[in-house]
Amino acid sequence: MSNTERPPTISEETRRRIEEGLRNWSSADSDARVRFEAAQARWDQVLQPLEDAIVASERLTEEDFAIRINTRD
Amino acid sequence: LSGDPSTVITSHRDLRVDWFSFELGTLEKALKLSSPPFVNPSKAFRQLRYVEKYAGDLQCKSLAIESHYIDRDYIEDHSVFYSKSLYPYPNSCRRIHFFSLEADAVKHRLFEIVEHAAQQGSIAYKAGCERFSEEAYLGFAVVKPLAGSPVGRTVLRCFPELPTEPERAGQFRRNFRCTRVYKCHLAGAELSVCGLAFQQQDVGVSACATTAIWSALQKAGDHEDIAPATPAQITMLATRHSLPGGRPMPSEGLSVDQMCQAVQAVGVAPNLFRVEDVNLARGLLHSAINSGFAPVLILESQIGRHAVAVVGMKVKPRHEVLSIAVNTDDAASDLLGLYIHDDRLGPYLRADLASKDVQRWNRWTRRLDQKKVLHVVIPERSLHEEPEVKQAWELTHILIPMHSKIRLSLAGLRHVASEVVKATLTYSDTFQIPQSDIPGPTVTFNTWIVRAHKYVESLFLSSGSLKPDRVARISTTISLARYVGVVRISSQYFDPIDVVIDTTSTTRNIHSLGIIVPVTELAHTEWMSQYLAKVFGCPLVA
Repeated sequence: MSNTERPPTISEETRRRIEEGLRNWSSADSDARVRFEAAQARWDQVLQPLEDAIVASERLTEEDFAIRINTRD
Repeated sequence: LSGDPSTVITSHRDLRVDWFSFELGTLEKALKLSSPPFVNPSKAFRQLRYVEKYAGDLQCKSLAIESHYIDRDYIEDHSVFYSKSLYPYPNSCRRIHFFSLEADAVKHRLFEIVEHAAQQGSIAYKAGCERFSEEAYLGFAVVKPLAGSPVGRTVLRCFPELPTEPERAGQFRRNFRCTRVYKCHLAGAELSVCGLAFQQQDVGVSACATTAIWSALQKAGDHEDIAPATPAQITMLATRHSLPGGRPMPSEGLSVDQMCQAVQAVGVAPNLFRVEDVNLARGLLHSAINSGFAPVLILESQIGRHAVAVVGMKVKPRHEVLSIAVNTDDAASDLLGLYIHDDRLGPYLRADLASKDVQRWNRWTRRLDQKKVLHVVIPERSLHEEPEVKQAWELTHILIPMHSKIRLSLAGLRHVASEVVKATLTYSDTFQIPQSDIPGPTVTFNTWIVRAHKYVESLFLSSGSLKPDRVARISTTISLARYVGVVRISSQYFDPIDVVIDTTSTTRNIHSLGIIVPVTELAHTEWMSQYLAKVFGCPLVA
């Protein structure tokens, strides 16, 4: 899609589904919430490598702090 | 050192301002510098020559040299170190000011500012000084009375955001968020320059680690009222509790632990990251620079370990989607290179970034593993010596000095961004939205940390700005922390949406302050923002 094109507007049926899903969001067993939980579990797996990298970057050891920087001019 | 003190003691208590036309190669002569015995001039004056070349690239036409200048950083170095030498080092420096106008024109303009101010008052004076600085002031360099390491605190103007050369137009943008405004005075006028202070290591009071921290902390002082620490203070604070590398002065370098100690001691929190993943490292650098936190890079090569301060970055002129995971795009993929202060070479050096496959010994599996590392490629000689020699350094750690009230690290904010992207990607499944409604499902995320009032200002000062009623609603309905973390997501099917995070919270107990939608034009923006507000349980301003 080019930058000047606009995506299609939302159909009435989709709009109704979104509104209903948001209205019943507080109910943990609403259809939208159930689908959300399932989709999130899938995306959890897909994005897990990003999470692992974040955790590894902050898991510092004594070796990291002992590194000596002494390049002379 | 030479036996003739006149070669070193070039500072005079009676101030004199000498004016010179700028020409490459004249700075050493104008300063009457000669290198000390046992040190090659090309080594002693490498940084000075770089500063001169850089000023030339900024179209410098003239310079003024103040013969007597007391520099806060040097006088402290002098107090703790040089005053105790047999050789009588002076405690004062000289200062060079660079201008993009001829000397006569500069003198005339400075006189005019003062004359005009005498008639019109202080507002006219400030306006005149700012106008002149904007037009013609390129910055200053303090020259220490140390013949082997003369370049002291030096602040020069950065290159413009867009390249001016026609052949490079549209190729990249420069982002110098890690800079601040410095003010100085000459001939009664207040001159200002935006940059980040640089100085060379003297291997007496400071080596590269101290100098890199010193530069990075200059910017930290711009966020909060923290007096910039001098190199001597940094070295002393770093070596207060442990001396694993021997004596503190002459400086034998610092360990990462000591660097963190020094940063902490001046009231700023050291955020240290080990570079394990190339994309994450690029993301952290992109976020830190966009947040205006000057990161210190810890580098390694066959020469040894080195530290440099980052001043800015070179980015693509327009964002190009480059997925780092399925349907996930990081704004940091625009990062093309960095601008660094390397105390061995000079200020604002352009360093390229390159990923490289290497084999590393894994001590747990006891075998060689394939690994991607990030190389920072620094032009070692880019002045008179051709061809340019480049040295590739592996980036091993990133040290980001941040305000101590910011508990959420940039890596933590990236974790939040990952959760936001995840929630965004569930939208179509949750509401069973047909694929035809979502032509490009990739979600781009960008993260940064900013003072709350500056974030609000950015919303109505930037292009495509927020409507005034939304500004009022943000200011009256959302209680913002002093610093907020911003996760901005965008896609082809919804406008940019900001998830604003309380930076005093931690990754296990994230406090979402609100969802803010600057512009609502695309069909899904309204619904996506409402959806995210439900998922994260926070208010929505749309």
